[in-house]
Amino acid sequence: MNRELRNFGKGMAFLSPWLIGFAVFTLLPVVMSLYYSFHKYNLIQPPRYVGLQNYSNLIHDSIFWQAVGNTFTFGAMVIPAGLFVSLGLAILLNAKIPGQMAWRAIIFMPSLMPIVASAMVWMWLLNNKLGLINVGLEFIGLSGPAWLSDPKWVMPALTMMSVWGVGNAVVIYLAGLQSVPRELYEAAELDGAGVFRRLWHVTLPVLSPVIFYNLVISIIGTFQYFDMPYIMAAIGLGPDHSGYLLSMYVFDNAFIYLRMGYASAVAWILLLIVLALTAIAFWSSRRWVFYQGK
Amino acid sequence: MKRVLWQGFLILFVGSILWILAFGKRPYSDVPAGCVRITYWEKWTGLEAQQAKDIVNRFNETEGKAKGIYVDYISMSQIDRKTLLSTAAGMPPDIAGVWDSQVALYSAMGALEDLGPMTQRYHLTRDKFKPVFFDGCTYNGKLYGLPSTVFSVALIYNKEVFQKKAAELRAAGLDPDRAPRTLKELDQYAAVIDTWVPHNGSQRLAVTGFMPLQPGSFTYIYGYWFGADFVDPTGTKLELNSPQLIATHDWIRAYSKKLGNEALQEFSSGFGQFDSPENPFIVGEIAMEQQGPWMAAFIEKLAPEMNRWNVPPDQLQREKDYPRLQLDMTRAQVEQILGPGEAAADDPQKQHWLAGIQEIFVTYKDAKVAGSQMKLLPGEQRKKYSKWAAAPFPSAIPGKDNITYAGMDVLIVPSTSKHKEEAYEFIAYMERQENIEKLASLHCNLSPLAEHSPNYFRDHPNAYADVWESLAMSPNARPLPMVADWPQLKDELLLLAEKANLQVSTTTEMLDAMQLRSQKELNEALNVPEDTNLNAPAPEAQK
Repeated sequence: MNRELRNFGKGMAFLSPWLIGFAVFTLLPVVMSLYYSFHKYNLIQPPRYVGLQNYSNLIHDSIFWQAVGNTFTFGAMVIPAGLFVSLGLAILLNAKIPGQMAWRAIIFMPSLMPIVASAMVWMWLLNNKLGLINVGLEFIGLSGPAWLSDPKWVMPALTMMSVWGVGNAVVIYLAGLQSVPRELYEAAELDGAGVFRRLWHVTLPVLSPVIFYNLVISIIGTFQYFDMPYIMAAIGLGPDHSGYLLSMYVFDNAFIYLRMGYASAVAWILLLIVLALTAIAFWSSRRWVFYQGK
Repeated sequence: MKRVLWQGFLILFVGSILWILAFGKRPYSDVPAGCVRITYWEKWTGLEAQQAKDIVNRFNETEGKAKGIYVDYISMSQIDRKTLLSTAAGMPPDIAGVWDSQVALYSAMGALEDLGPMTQRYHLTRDKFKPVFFDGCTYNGKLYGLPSTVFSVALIYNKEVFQKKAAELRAAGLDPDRAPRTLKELDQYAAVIDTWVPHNGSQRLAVTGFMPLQPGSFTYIYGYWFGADFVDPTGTKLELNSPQLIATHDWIRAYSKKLGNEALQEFSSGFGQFDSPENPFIVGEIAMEQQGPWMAAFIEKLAPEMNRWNVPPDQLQREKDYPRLQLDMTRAQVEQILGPGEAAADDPQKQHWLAGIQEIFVTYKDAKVAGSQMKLLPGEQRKKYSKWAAAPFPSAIPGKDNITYAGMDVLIVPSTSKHKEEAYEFIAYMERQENIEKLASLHCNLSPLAEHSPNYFRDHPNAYADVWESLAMSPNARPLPMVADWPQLKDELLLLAEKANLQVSTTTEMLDAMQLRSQKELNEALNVPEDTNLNAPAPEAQK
């Protein structure tokens, strides 16, 4: 018992840097934000209790609802697009093709790019007149849209930018693909399964825990997506708040308008949305996620 | 072996730390003994920061030294947030340079020190400043800052585009040699200048006379040119849903209706960034826009040829050849590079040449070059060479001219500053005419002071600085509305303008909602009943 206690103490001592960091920089701010969400607070004057006023004000706040709508639209576009593109790329990169390592590095590279540099590159790529995308579309006889200034095209533009950085997800899928047992493919081949049947009946079921992991991570990441649209907004993305996401509304309220209480209330709504969507993903996973050996 | 290596590594690591602790550079080791160190945070970076730092250094070497004050200048981004957070934490800078939009917000929450008593002591009273800038630092009757570099807003226009459309402008009864003088005229000029070109079987906008949302820096304050006040003179009643603000947005909507929503989006989507050579005004895609005096510096940096439009070629070449001059060259060698120069009337040992928009002065000693310098030509002369010009932005109200928004950078002292007296000493030094004028000139802005030195406009990098100056002195110059809620109102007004530009008809509803929310906040701050003035505007606002 004493030895167990000693070991526990040692374990905790090794864990303590993370535990202290987590408590001070994550847990405490989360708890404090819940407290502030029931207060009016501007950093300088003491917080004043206002009950549920911050939450009730949100009901009549048209900008909040617009940001909620934009965030859901963005999520609906970017989560499936990100999953399909990253999975597709991983499957392609898993095949034995010439220069496989180089292709993998090229696909991963965008996720290493600093956000501000990416934003500047995308701003030029999406430029209506000079941008490569519209020039390319014109080359094949299509007239490209005003990606950054037409509210209808802002979300597809943001989705493209986001999907560009799927390198991390591709690496995770690649690791998952390496672990698909070869004998399953061989058995499927013996049974006469072609490429697509092998993909559908072998690869995807075995990979489903990895897909599920990437889905949960992308739900959380998408609803917290902030840096790219915030930088792009500063240089002219989307009129009429068409690219304005909930995370940006939290930031503006907290650090521009100094309404910490209101920002905390919005942040908690955002957390509840993410929790609900993650719970739905977990609930649905029972139907489509298969763990080997179970 | 492994153990020895580990021990060696540990000794080296601990030894390095001890060495740094014992002999490493101490923070603030530059502070002279016996001096109080005060911190000054500024938002300026690059050359602008260096210019401010020069003033700080001069203070440290002269008056600071004598009075035992050492100013530590720190240049930083997001200064507004950092100043506020550090004030809340009780560790603020002693002086911070923020924007005018923060003054009311920070003052209302008690984050700023009242500078009124200090200004009395240092004779920095309202009469020493252009009144609009002093008033823009005043909230609820107290002074919470002092202006550093300031600006007003004028109309700039592309003279070349005007000349290309001279015949059409004359046919429409308009003068291509001057700027529009009324808002109606501005609309007429714009309509004539709008140019469409064929593209893929349809028409594409190539040049526009005016686009209300470009460059977008002052879209939120257009209401001033329509007679809107935003808040009544007592600061207790907001007037956000006034007929004037509705008219402002109707005007914005009319432009997008005229040019077509999709055509405008397509056109503006191709614009380069403001601070790039693809700036739509610089490339001639937009003929007229609202701007501050700093635009002259951007033009000189990004498209210097715009400032040298009509300069004779030989004069232009001299400006390029100037760097080839060297000390000890003979007069003949100099003239071989620059051509024959004129001798100064007072001194045969001096020569001068016109070179681009500058003048070259060469001094000889013993028939060899002893010194040379280039100096900007007087502003009035430079105007003749300029492809662009400035004029007051026309007003929508007949008879009410020279309306402008007068904005500024503001020096504030946070309420929790620990060295207020020393901070005042430095602010008073900074506000001296020679310092503030130099800073304003280098930043291509205006001086906030009521008086200026004799050669201020002659040497100002913006040849049209006098236009912005006279606007700043106009009785119709206005600072930002002194409302604590302004940062949010500003964003909402920008959004409203974008909606109007997209033909979304929600102006009245949105202005009503802004009025309601903001007035509630104001009533709470003023401790008056919650429903006071909630549904302004008052009848007298219907001017």
